[in-house]
Amino acid sequence: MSSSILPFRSWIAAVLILLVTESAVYSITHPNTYDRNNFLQFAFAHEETPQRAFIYDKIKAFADSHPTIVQSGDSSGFYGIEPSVVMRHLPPGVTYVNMSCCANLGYNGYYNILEFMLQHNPSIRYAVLHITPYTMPLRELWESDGAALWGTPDIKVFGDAVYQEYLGMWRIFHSPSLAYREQVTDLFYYQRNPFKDRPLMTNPDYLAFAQMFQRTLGWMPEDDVRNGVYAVECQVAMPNFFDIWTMRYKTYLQQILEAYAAMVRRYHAKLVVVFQPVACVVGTGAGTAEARAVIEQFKRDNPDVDIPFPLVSTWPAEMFSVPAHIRHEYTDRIGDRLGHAMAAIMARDGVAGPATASR
Amino acid sequence: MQFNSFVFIFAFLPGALAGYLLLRKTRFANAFMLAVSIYFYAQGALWYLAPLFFTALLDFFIGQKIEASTDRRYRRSLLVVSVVANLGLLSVFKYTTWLTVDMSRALAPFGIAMSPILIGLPPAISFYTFQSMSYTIDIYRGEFKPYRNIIDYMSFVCFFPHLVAGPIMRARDLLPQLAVRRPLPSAETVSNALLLILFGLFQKTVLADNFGLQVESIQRMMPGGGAELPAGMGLLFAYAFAFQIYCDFAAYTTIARGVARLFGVELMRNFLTPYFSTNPSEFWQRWHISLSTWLRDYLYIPLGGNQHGKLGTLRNLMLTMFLGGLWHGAGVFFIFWGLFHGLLLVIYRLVPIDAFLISRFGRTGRMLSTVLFFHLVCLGWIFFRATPEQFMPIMRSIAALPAVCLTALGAVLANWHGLAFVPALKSGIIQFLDVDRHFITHGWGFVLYAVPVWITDYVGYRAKAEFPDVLARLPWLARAVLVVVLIYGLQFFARREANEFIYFAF
Repeated sequence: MSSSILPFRSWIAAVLILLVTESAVYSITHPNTYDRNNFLQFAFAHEETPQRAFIYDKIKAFADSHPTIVQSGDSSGFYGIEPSVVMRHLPPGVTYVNMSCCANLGYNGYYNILEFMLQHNPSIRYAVLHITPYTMPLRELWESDGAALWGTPDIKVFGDAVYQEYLGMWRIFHSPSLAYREQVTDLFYYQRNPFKDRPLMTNPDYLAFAQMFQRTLGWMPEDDVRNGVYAVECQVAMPNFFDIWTMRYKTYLQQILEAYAAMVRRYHAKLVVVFQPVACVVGTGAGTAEARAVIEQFKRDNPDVDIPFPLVSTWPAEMFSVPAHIRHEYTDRIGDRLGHAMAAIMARDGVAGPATASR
Repeated sequence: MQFNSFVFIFAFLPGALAGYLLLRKTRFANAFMLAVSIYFYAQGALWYLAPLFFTALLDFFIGQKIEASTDRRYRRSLLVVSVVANLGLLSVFKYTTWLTVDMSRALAPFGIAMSPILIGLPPAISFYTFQSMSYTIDIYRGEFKPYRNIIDYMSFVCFFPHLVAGPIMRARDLLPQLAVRRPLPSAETVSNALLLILFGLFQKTVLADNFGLQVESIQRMMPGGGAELPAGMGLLFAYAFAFQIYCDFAAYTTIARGVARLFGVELMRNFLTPYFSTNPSEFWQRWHISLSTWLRDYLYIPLGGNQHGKLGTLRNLMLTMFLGGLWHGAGVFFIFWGLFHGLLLVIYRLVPIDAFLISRFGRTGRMLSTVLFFHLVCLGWIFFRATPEQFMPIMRSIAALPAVCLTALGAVLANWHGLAFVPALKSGIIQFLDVDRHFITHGWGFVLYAVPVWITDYVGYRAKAEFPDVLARLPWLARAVLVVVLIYGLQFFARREANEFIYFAF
């Protein structure tokens, strides 16, 4: 052996051991591709973020489900849109999957979920961004992964993790055995069970979700503590930034809508932006006028994007559990609203059923 | 950019290495190294470069002026300019926020409203100002000749492997290495460098970050700061942080040394199994060696060292450690931490506890003094990590542990009937579990990660080296197995949430 290779014997041997082990794991156990990632923590006696677990399970369940319509966004859609209600209004065979989760996924995360679904499912014709005007685009929801959302250190934005673990190039290092991380860490951490303390497994939200999300195509009924929602004037956050490409100030809303439209277009699908109704009323200031102007301009510039509802549709306050969530008793009503809109859009586009050919 | 990121390991480092190898024989090699170092550092924010360039360029020109002059007073005033500028810059960035926030709080009860000045801290400022200062001081002392080539000099200050968290290299050790055309590292050097990087990544992401998770979990048990901790959790907090900060900082140096070796540069060792020290002097010869030797050479000795009687020596020790504490961070508790270590140095000088124990009990005495001193160090770490509101709950939790242990022991003794000791022990354990399940659970979590640290450090201690040095001497097959173990360790146990190196904040 050459003298310059000799010092690397240990590395070569290590690589061979790894290759043999990983090949054996792959060929014997056929691990699920969507388990092979670092999305969840599996740390010792440490609570997983339930929202991360929702996304993990949803991706695993629906990554290759070949829907016609996919929805992503904040918790307004997660709790609000029951796919079976929407599908009642759509042509036979058209399927709708609800991949929405939560505000701490961030606009970056909603985007990554949509892109992931579009990449994996050429059947998708419509990508629905479902949001509430209460969580309009902010810097930390778009650019800054790991940022504390609304200044709360425990609520961290994790949308970039969706990219890293499901879309990014470093996935090539996700070896087959990575799928067994939960089992391996359990074995070391909780071997004889006395220390087993996986707090997520006792989280009521997660347990309820785990029991039903596959059956409901991603929807979960709202179960918020009722603190009362009051009809006041709407306040819509509308921060901006200096865009060095255009050398002018731009709102994050405009930036995000443009980015979503361009991405969905790349996959030859159609972007539909849906604003959930709110209990507040349109006022004269506090960002609503500016937001509405941005949306109108965006509609003019992007005629291929559908925004079927106005930014602010005021519904009675008693229909809401918290400002961003419709009470579960009114799920049908909000599902019907979207179902009608999607049916009209599909009719206008001449889509009579699910896509049969891949894009 | 973080050492423990895919981007660094699989894109930046190979790219930098490829560029360096291409340009190695040309005069652009250092310019290239400087460019990649600037790129590495400016990833956080572009403005970080301003104080870095200010410090580096000022000292470069002052170094030339000092060397060129024979006028003692002029040379001294130039040195004063350098020291004042460096310490001034460091103080502005490091202490302004802390001082103005505390002042505004202190003045508020008197009805005086003062807006605190909030200034972001550029990473590594404490490291590069000290490094740059040592350059001018060494020139002033006539111990080093300034370099005329600004690219060589800047690549010394900015050399990316050690820029952010040290080791604090002296110009006389690093600049001569960088200013020459270096030979290609041998295959053996590359192999060992890769081992250092891999072990450093394991130390950081598997060990340090998981200890960090324990520290954070325990801190979360005191949400308002005033909440009481279960008995013993304070002790676990101190242990977990002691291991976290050691593994975190040692990991950075280990990776930095490995990376530097790939570029043909040898960085100094910064740690040498510090928790096996039996006294504070030994500890500071094993912990953050580049800082402690810097403080010794540029502060303690100029203050008079041990040349001005016992009292003068003790004063110099306290002053050096006070400033060492202040270097670490802006906060009263960092000062307490420094003073605490100063006090330990003083006490051990006056009453050499370890020497007594060793002479009296031999090996057992050495072990006892190691254990005792480790616990004193842990006590210091509580100052370092806990907030002022958390300090007392942590101390009370530690104080409550013996009572819980005694209760459990009482249960054992109450059920002890002759040879039937198993049921007695069982009842004691059950009693302990009932009283303090938190302690048992987190204790188990701590032991899981502490065992690899104990083992690797003990191996290193016996060999009078660090574990990666021992690793490099193992037979190749054993090394291969260890590489596999480390890689699978990283895959399964590395903490997933991105975590910065602790010393990035200093």
